[in-house]
Parts: sequence; structure tokens; C-alpha cells
Amino acid sequence: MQNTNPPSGPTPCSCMKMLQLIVDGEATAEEEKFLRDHLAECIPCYEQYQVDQLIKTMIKTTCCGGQVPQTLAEQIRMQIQANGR
Amino acid sequence: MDESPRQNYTAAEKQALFDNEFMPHMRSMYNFGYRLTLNSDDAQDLVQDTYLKAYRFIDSFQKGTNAKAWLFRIMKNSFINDYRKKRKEPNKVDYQEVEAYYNSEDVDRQITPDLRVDVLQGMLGDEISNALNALDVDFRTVIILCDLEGFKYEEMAKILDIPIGTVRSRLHRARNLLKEKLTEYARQMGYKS
Ligand SMILES: [Zn+2]
Repeated sequence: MQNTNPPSGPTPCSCMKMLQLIVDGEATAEEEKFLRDHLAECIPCYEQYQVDQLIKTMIKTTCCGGQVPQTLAEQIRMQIQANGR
Repeated sequence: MDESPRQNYTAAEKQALFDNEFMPHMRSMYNFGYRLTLNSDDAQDLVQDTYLKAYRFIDSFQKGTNAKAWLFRIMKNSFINDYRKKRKEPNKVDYQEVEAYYNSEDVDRQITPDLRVDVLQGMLGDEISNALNALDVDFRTVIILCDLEGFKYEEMAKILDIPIGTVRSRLHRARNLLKEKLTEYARQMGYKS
């Protein structure tokens, strides 16, 4: 059988809210076991889990920002000195 | 930072703390400032302000605790109390309203099945970054703290002064909104579901 989504999209599984606990490494051992077991049998959750994990990785690698202006650290040190100790 | 007992560092200790514990986080601080304000000059001001405050209140920092989290909390407070107030955005929706709105179950139902791994992999970093910047600042913030800076929920709760349950639900909502944005981009790029 093909897995086709109904036009309205799948009804989200109630586990979806908990998925981020394993994505973020915040699940307790018990939660982790429950979620891993669930992922093995729930396709929508498994797909969502993969998407969430990929987004997390992509954010880490692409949103770390530009160069810190070189003068910034120097400015801060000067300000602190000017303010007196 | 207010619950901890006041320390009494010597001038040399202060300098050492500042150089060894605070300054190494400059890059993260600048990026956080930039993601909050979406403006390089404002980000620099915010970083400078944060470090000056950190130095001034260094006696309320407890050696051995998480300096990065402490600095992030100062910046978050500066952003809310100084920056946001100074430039009152007239059409800025109060966060409580936003949160109440997104509390509705509708958001979960909007999860689109066509945002798939292969679609995401076809995106360049720009889409992710733009989608993140397009989120309301409070939603943007939780994603930055969690995904980019790797703070634990408990640390985030302290930085943001909200309960852990709120951290979790705000993160969940933020991610759904981010996925909505990314789905929009995917459609514009011509991906078919
Ligand atoms: Zn499921």
C-alpha cells in the first residue's frame, strides 16, 4: 500500500509536541524510550522528527552570524577603563 | 543573578573574570544582539551595554556558574527594558496576545506535510536565516537560545524568566511557525508537495 496523505493533511499525532524532547536532548530515560518506540511505528512523527532535527542542524550551521566588528572588544575595554574601577 | 549572594572580588579577580569568563562569549553575544535587533549598529550597542553592565554588577556573578547564561540574561533584559522601550514600535503586538493566539490548536493543524527533508536539503542557509528573522522576536529568541547556543531548557527558563513549561510550549510554537515560513519559501521555489 502506498502512503498517501489526505488532501487536508494528516491529523497531527499527539506525540508531536513531545518530539522536541529528543531533538533537544531533554527527554528523561522513560520519555526517550516511549518516543523511540513510537517513532518506529508512526510515520508522520518519524518524518516530523527528521525534519525537526535537520532544521536544528541547519540553524546551527547557518545562523551563527557575521564577523564581530573588530573594534568592539577594544571599545568595551576602553569604556570600562574610562568609567573608572 | 539576583538570588545569588554578593561576592567581593578584588580588582584583579574582576579583571580575570571579565577576560576569561565574559569576553570569550563576545561572538555569541554579538550574534544574539544581531538576531534581536536585526541591525549591526544596534547589536554593537547592545553588546557594549551588556558588557558594561556585566562589569558593573560583577559582584553578583558567582564564580563557577554559567557565565554565558548570565550574560545572555543581561542582554535579554537590556533589550526589553532599554532597547524596546526607546523605540516603541507603534504596531508592536504585545507578546501575551501573540502567545494566546498561537496557543490555539490551529497552529498544530497547520503543519504542512510538504516540508520534507529533501525539500529542506535543497535550501541554502539564507532561507533558514530569513525565516528565523521573520519570526516574532520572542519566538526567534527561544530558537536561538536552544538550537544555536545549545542552552538547556532550564537555563533558558532562567535567562527568560519564564517557567520551563512555557519554554517548551514557546519552542514548539516557534518551530511550527518557522516551518510554516519555510513551507512558504519552498512553495515560492516551486517545490511540489
Ligand atoms: Zn505519532
